[in-house]
Amino acid sequence: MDGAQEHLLNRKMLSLLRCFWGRPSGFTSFSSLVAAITLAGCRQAPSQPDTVSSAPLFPNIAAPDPKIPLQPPQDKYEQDFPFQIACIEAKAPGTNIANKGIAIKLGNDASVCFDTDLLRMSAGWTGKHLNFRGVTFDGGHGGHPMIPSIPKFGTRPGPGWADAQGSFADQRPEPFGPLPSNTGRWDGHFVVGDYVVLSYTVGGTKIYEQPSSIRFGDETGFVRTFRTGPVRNDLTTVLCDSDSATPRIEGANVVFFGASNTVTVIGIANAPKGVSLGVLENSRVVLKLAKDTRPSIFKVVVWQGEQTQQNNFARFLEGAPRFVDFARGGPARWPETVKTKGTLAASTTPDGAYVQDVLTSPDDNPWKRRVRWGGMDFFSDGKRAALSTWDGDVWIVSGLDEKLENLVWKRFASGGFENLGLKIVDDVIYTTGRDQITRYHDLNGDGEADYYENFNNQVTSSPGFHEFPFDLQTDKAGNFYTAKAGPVRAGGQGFGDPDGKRPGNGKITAFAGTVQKISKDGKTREVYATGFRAPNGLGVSPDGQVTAGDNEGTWVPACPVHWLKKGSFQGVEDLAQQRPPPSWNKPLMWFSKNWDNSGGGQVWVTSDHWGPFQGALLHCSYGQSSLYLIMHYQVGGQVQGGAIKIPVKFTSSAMRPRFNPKDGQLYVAGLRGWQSNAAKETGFDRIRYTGRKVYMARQLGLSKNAVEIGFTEPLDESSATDLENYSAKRWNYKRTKEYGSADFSVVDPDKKGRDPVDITGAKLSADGKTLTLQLADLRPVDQLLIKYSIKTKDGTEMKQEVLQTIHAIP
Amino acid sequence: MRTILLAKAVAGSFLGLCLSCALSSNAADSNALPGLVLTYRAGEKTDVTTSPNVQLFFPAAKAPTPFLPAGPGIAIWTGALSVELRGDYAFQAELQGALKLEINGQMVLDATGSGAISTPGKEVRLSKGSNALVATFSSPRQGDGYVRLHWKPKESFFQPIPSGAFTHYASAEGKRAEQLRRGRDLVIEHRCIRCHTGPRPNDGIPELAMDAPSFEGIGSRRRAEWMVRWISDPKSTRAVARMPKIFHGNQAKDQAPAAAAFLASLKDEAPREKNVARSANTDAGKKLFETLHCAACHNAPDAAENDPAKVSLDLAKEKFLNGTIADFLKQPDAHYAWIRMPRFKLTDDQRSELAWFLGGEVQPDSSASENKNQLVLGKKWIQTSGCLNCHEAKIPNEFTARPLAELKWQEGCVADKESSRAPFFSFTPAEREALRAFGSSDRLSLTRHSPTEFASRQIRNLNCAQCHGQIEGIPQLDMLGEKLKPEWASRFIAGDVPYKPRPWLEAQMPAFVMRADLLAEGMAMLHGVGSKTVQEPASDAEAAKAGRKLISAPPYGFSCVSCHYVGSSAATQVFEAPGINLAYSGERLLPDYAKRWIRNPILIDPMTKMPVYFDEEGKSPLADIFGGDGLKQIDAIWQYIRLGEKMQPPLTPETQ
Repeated sequence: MDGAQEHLLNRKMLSLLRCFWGRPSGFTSFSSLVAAITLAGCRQAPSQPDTVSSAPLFPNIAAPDPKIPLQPPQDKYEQDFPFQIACIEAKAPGTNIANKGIAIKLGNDASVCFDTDLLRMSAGWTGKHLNFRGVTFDGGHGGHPMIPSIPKFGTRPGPGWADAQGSFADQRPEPFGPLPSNTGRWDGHFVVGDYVVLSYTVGGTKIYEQPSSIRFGDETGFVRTFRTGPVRNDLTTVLCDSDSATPRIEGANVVFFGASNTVTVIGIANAPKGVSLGVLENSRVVLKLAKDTRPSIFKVVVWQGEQTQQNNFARFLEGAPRFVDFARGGPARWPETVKTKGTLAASTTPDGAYVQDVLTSPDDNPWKRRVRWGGMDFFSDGKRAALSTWDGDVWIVSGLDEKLENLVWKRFASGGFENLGLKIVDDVIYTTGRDQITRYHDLNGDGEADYYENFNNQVTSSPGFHEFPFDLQTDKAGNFYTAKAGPVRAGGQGFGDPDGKRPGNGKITAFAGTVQKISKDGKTREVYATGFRAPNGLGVSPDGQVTAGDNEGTWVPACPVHWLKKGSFQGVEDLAQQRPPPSWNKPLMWFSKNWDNSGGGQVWVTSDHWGPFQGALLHCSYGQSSLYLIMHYQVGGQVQGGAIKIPVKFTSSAMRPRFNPKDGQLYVAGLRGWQSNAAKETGFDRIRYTGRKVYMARQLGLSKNAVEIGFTEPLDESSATDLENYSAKRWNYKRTKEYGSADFSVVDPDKKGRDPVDITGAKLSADGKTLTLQLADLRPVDQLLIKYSIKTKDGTEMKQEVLQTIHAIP
Repeated sequence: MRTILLAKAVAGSFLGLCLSCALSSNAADSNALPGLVLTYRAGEKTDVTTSPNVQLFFPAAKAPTPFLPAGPGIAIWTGALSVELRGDYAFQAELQGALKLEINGQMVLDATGSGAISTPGKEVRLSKGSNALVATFSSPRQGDGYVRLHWKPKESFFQPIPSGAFTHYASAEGKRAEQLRRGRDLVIEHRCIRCHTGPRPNDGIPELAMDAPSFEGIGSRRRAEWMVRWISDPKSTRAVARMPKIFHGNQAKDQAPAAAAFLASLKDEAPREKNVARSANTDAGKKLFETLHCAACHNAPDAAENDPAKVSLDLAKEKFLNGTIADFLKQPDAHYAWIRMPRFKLTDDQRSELAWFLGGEVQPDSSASENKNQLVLGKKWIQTSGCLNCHEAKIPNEFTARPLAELKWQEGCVADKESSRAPFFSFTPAEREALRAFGSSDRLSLTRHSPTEFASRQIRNLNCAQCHGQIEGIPQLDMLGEKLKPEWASRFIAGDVPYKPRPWLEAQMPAFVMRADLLAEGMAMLHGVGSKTVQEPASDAEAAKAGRKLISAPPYGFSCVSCHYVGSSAATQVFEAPGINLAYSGERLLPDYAKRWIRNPILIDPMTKMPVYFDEEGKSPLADIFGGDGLKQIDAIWQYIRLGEKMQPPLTPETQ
């Protein structure tokens, strides 16, 4: 072929490629192709989808190859890691959004995205890895990561594997969430060096898939190396969809032509008997595995280039497919640790009973990773904790001792999809993310996760930027609880994108605005309670009572603390998950805006080393970076109560509180990601009890015409019975579809403002610890604020406020 | 009940606007009125009014109140200061002059100043509920005097006292003074001085220059049929009309049509727009009517019930000639400078849509009367009935009336019953009493302009409080004088600010061109702020540099940029609560207010979504800038904000 012919052919290929997906490919010639890299072999793999075994399935496979040189980060939010899970959108075919996409760098400037809901390879592309858009990355509302270039190949959203009847019809009740388990199950993925091995089960057949790339000169082929177990039923998976061109079988390959002389070729190598390519509906290229195909390793190669180079495609298929030894874990990627020193008693409560010890976070780390804590829990030794970040990392900190002088931070895992909750069970780390609850396995004991196991991915996720996965807790039976925010629209009001004009606002899916319960074994996930807007934090009592916070907004007039019941509806009508919405389970209490404008998590005081609050419920305010003691009681089955501020300070917001099982102190992690008065991007503090006397309200109660307040220390009688030392106001909220609520008069319900309340009497109990305040016209009210300025028996002045909600009066 | 000092006046009109920021327990006392009694003394003369706060501007060589002569004087506030809970408080004042403050009979501040903030007084314990207050301010012998009283609750910092904390009781003396004021206001608002000569605008108050709709070309703007109805009995068309009924008795049925016919003959050649909407759908106009909050002053044409205090628009299509509604909306003050209807910034399409909503289908224009005799008579009635004392027309005015000084104030316009000899204003008995009280005074108050009383009067007449403090995002009126630089406020009220501070609001601030300067001045003076902002030294470059860092996103600062634009740099995460472009803040805000807002916005607006970053002691959580000194950080932010258009964009990793 002379130069002119080659040029002409190149032009034809480019033209065809444009016709196929609208944009020309990037290279023009095979004439200088040089074999570059092939992939490595494999040794051992897990034999079960949910466990990792070292039993060799394929004992005679060659040793792994050296690392592929991954493309360096080109986006400031891109990390030095082979994968990132997010909602990832490709420009073709069609509207191609992987709601739970795992974007994998393949080296050779190539990337693929695997949709873990649908078990499909949503796209393969070359060039820049991703444009990292979205609230987690650039802070933008309504966006998500985008594949910058037109993919070389891709699949339309829909099941990646046919069901038992051979149909690709989407059997899910809505186009969100994972495939039905009898079609396929996502099991998780391994990381070995720069390789990612996908693990899933389809129709009873275990499949491991290792995506990689191969290059000759300027040409890049996408390699999908499959390692399949015994095939128990006929299986079919989609490899590629075409928007316009018609694929046809040419020899052993499938070929279709695009615009500008481009051609896409798909071939298989080392395929055992029973494995073949096919074309469906003149637009879909599929891979078939016939029943009883023997366990095998084979590869599928997809290449797109100019037609002139098509004859060289065979070179991509050369060489035996090889698999990395994923079952034993890979080498440590981050052997360095980050050492920080904590600050003891950075601040103190006015009575000196509690101090804030700052556990300095590894903000300055070798990988420039952004540290914004979203979840935290302790290992059983109490000397170590694991913390997850909003950006998807997991860190382990050791050195949690009295002095905090040697805090050592180890980067343990990366790539997660907004890990805003973390729980440690039997010293194994679990995180909750937009995609799933992940259970992490360090297979070789090098301090880094090798296997990111899907513990449960039955949650639905749409492209909504506000579908935050909040908190992860367990009950005494071992069940897990997590929450999912509603798809609040950009700007903060309303939910979802009903007319499809702003996909980034998301959809109201089955789990939107719910608290969920996941069985101990991870097999089932059920909606526990509905009607939440942005419940950024849960609490589970030792006896299993679940509580939740929320953020004021549409249908949430003020920030509540919810006392959940199984099946309860907490008030956000758009997210009731039932029509008509069921009756409303009123919250334990509301918070006035300047107390809490965005709720965080709760924790029960399980420690007897934390002052006089054993057994009490604490609530964190994310928005006000504050900690509150919640004082609850029941009237006729209605749980209600109030709060008093524990005047401690935090480095950042107060979001994830936990008691350390060993030192018995309260640790709180938080981030600044949306509206909060937190000054720092993240913080991790210990609120330590010093042993000094605590001067605070401790309990609340109610009688027909009086409020009872129990105190931690006896009060001075003359001070406590002087009505001059008290004032009270009350007001109501209006729960509407508008954003939040103003304060409304109780006596004149349409008038904005607060009503003064006359306190007509004050009596002190014999032990001086219980104060009874008689109120004129005591009645149910959303908010009753009592202020007092009194002395204790030992002469200490207390000027405090108790805010409460009264739904019912005895 | 606690003894409190009996106040001597009733609430002034402006006080009605003061919402209860911190109403304490005695506010439940139904006899207590908001604000304090304010007694002015100049020599032997006194004047009593009310004030929302202990804040005052005493302009040099000008009368502090319309009822006292110009010159130095004394102002005494009396009433109660209420707190929710017994507690310790300290007081200080920013002043030019001298202030003595007594609480519960105890002197708690004795300060003399020439512009600086005074030394704080000794901490005093206030009782729960009402505490008797007497504050006495003596203006300096020379120059402007002013005072702004601040307090400091024990756990907080010095700040203005919420106006809701002040109360007083009504007194007979206060009622008499209020009646006199009301009479003066009625004389002003009904333009009595236009017929009954007295002070002229150049030696009196600004409103003496108030005009009425010009007759020039009125026949090209108004329908004759509507003018007949209006002239015959203005109050029957508009309950709040200030125009009197001119024609009475048997002749009236001929006089009004004749006058209207003559006016209808006064055509001009000005081009008119057609109120033909792009679509005959009234929804767009109705939506505009709602989003512009026209209902603050008007009853909608399709309203089921009409509020008599508002101007009903159901007659708009009968009032305006074909095509002239949209034209009117373009410049409502084109033929009537002091019209209360403001200018809105509307596109041609919007005016057309509104016009369609108000006027509906195009009505055929009424034909001009060809009855020459009627036109002659009409002209005569217009010339001889006093119409031309208020309305402009290029024909001789043949009407005369007795000068103000010769009026008896019992008959004529203020007669109890309608007669054929004088215009009839339908004054209520209380209004007539107020007019008579004013008539029995020396009436020199018409020569004394009080900016604060002007502002109070205009705020009432223009229905400002129908939007301010009522609609989310539109600030309350009672804080604007201490918040906005009066120069900027004046430009904003006049419609001369080229940007919309809160572009996310559908509502817009309309322009009140004639009143802008005086309104801004009066609102400022109500808070002890002069009409000229005190010049600050040049922005401190080093501090501004720190301020730039402080407003930037983490890891640099507080991330103010999440919600606030900075010039052309967009806010990064606007959610729930967009903030005003910081590049506008320097020219808009008074420094003291801006710094107080940054320090604790919830103290100013409990419903704000702006976070509080600094603790009660002023300590900042960002310890690496100025060692966590919050006050220095706040000043640094202000120094940066002051740069306005010259502000450097916020810091980002890319700019580092």
